[in-house]
Amino acid sequence: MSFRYGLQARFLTLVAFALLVSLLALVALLQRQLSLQRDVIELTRESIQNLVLERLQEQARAAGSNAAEALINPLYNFDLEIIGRIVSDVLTQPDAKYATVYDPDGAIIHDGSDAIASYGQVMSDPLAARIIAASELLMQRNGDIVDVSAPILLGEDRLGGVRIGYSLASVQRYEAEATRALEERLNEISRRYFLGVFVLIGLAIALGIIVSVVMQRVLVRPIRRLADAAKEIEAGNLSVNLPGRDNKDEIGELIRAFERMTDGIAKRDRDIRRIANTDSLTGLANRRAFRESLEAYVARGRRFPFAVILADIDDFKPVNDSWGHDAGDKLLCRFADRFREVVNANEQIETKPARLGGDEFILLVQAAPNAGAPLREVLSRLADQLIEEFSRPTTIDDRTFQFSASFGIAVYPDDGVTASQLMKAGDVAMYEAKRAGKNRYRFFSRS
Amino acid sequence: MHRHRFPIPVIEGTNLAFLPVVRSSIPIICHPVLEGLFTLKGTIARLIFVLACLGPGLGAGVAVHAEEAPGVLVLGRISDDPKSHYESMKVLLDYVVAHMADVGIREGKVLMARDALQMASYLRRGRVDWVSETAGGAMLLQRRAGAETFLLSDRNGVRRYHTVYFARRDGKVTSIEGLRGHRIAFQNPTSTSAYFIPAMELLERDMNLEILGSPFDPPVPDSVGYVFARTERNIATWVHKNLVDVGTVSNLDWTNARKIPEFFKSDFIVLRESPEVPRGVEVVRQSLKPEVRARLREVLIGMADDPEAIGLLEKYHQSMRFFDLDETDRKDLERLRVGVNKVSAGIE
Repeated sequence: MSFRYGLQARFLTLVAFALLVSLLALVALLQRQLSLQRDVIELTRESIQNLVLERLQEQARAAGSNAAEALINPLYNFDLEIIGRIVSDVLTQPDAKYATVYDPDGAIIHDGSDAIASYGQVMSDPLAARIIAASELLMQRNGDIVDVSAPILLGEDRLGGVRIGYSLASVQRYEAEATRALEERLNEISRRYFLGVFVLIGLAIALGIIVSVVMQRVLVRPIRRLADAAKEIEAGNLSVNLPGRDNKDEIGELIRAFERMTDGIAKRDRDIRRIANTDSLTGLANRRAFRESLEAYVARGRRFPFAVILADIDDFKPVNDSWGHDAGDKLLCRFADRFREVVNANEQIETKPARLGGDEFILLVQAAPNAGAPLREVLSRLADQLIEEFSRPTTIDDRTFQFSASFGIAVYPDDGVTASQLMKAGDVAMYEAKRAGKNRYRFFSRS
Repeated sequence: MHRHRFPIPVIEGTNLAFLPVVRSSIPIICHPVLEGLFTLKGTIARLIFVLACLGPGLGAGVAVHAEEAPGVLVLGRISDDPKSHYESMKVLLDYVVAHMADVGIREGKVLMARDALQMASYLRRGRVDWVSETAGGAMLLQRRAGAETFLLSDRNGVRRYHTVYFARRDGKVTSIEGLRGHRIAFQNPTSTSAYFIPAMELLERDMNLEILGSPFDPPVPDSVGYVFARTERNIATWVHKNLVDVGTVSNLDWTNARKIPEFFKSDFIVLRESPEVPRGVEVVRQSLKPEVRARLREVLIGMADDPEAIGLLEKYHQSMRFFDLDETDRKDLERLRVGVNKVSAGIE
């Protein structure tokens, strides 16, 4: 079956298109969601970082100013033991990486170690210059280190300063941990979201399939049936049977209309057929119909003998010329009636009377199942009846006419096995009767 | 100076933080009537002190009215950390008191003073009977309050000790005589080994001593500038960092790695070790009844042979034995006494 871009295909295309559009919308939505999630994580990371950094800076500021305050007396007395204890205390703070007490020139006085190995060394790192010059608490950042320094002042006198470095490593670790936890939570939410979306897509696809199936049943299949029925009708088969005529919907209505139309066509077909098979003057079967019947009889085979009786009104031609066609036609009708009457009255035969044209009539005869006599005997008796009936006088328009007719009889299969042979045989017999003096019948004889 | 006449000078001072610590020793010295009242705050307490101390204030050092009630033996100590010293003193005191009922002693009390001046005042006024001190401290109390040395004691088996002078191996000063125009670090003005002895020895060498405000204070030419470093560790650090030229500690601290760590010590050389002096010296106030003093001496010396007394102070990581002074001790203490007098006169 070749592909046809039919209703269903169109509908499926539409559904697919709708699905595609919603899928694209969903993809866009999900992308938006993902980028939102990234934004949230980034923002959170920043705010956590700021928060923790701020806290660390606060801690640093407090520790710096506390240490500077606590160091005034010991530094004034140059009590290295107490200075060392204070510095060691500072170093026990979480994240504290270094703590240094320095003199006004930036030379290190204490670094918290027992031996004070760096004693006397002038600080020379990138932050040192500003630290040494600073007149108040100073917060600086160098890579992963937050450096807080505070001068140690006694009144106006500057005794030196204290400097503490805090590592941001734990800040970053904390930030990373918090972000990772957040990320996990968000991913979990996303997973649920995605699952929901996929379920929705699945539902949409299922809905599409269901709608498509329903449509196939309700719309496409009946329409296909109608199309097939139309083809049948086109081929001449008018007895189509369509399910669904009881449906209340438009399709039911269409089927009913289609059936009404089919009925109309069938009636017209019958009318046409009748007109085509009937002699319009006499109402008998015409030559064409007779020929069809004859062919059908022949087709039954030799086991079913039958005969054709050809009749020709004797000397009828002058009637038309002398009395007009109207009178001729009326006479022909009268003969047709007599033909019919004789045939209908005879119970031994089954006949199909027909008019071949002009004043020629023909009769297709077979013995009735209860004929009780051989076919030829039945035929002879019928022929006698016909001769008698045809020779009775008749009145047309107050004028009395008397005619006779000559009959030729050909019997199947003795006298011919085809329609033409039989017709010819009948014709030959009929002329034999004419030659013999008219108003008589003759069986075909090969001699 | 009037502050030292009051038993609780800190009340008047600003250092109220010491109050709870000091208060624990108050009931020991106050009249029983005062004990309950002492819990009252501020003015009432101060008023009562004035009343209670009026007598001795007028008595000008003669211990009559302020003397402890009969039957109570008061053990004193100079300490700025009463809390950590109290328990071990009380254990010793309780042992002693338990053996002195025959001379009328039924109760023992501990009294601590923050410095020698205050303790001298207590001794003069008879508020304290017996004081455990270092040799230098004992000589100072003898000079200021007429306290009498009556026994020696060892601490953790150390009966005698001396001063170690040390300097950086690469330092400018290589001998005591070379200290002129340079700096030396002492511990504090009550230290025997890290003040009295070295100051005495420098004065004996006719060297002038000049106190400096800080190790950065420039020394006076031809004089020896000295600074108090408060702790042995500071002394070692200052010497190591070239803030001072010479440091002084006792030979006990010199070998204590916690006070003079090895990483410093390896850069030091010893310039001199002084003659030894007795480590612990027990003094009693001049006015203590002779029979009480004699009985106290007996009990303390007898501790060495009393199984009950042995190990008495072990849980305070201390051991203490008491001895009579021999001739060497007397000589050494006399020299120190002269020296302390000279230091007190010459410097202060």
